[in-house]
Amino acid sequence: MNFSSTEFIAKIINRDEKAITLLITNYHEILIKGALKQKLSFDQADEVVQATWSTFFQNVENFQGRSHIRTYLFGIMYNKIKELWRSNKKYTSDYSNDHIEKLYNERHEFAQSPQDPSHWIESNQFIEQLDNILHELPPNQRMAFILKEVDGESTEDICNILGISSTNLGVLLYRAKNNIRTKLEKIHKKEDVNE
Amino acid sequence: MNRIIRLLRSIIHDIVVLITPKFLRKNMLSCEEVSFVLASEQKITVLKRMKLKAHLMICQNCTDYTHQLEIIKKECKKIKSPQLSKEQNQQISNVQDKLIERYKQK
Repeated sequence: MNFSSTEFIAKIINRDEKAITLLITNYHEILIKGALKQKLSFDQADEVVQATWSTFFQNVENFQGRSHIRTYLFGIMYNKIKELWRSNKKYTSDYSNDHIEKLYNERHEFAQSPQDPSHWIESNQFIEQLDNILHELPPNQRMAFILKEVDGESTEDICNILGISSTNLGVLLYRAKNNIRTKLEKIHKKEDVNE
Repeated sequence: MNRIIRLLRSIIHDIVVLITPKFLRKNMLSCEEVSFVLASEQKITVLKRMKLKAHLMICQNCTDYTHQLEIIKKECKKIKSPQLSKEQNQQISNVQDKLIERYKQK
């Protein structure tokens, strides 16, 4: 079934029961899981996804089929998540980049040599550490990183979902990865000292 | 073996930095530029790709940085997607039914 076809969208606009049932049963759980990956509680995820459907059905006439309907739905949902963070005052557009600039000296070389990471994966808790670090990232960076590296979405789809340019996405990924690796370095430095 | 390669790379790096004239060094990629190109995964020109490879051949720091990114990229794929309890699955099913009812009627 092509959910992005004009025929299917026409059925949705006309409130065809079969089409609506098919769409909701296919994407509701996927959206909930997508919201849970952003460290929302189940109740928050449920609220955000219901608001997503509401916005979708209000604006479905504007859907022009340029992107996949999944991308369109996720785009709405990520905006709802941002709204939720803003209302909870947890949302910051981005962290200060001072610490990233401090990673390099005036000759644009590494101020501190990156650790040889060979021993990182020897730790049984590495995946858990990585998961915890992901949840500490600034929301924008976390969204971009999870979509790109965990969900494996294409650059074009991520840009559509988050409503940003590919250059902005590159900057978000760069900051996210530097944050992750510096936090991993700190953890493994501590572990080395403890040993 | 790994240690020898690391040592060799750092020696070559120091020699290259020492003997390369300033005007030529300006055309080379800095570690900061290399790390941005690697982490942002943006499309780059063939010339820039060549410069990147040349830099990585002699720079141990950027090689370690690349290795770090590779590990992060590989390992984060192993993060499990959220697991739902029976009650949550039931709730999802109930909400789906309500949504279908709500939107088909409008």
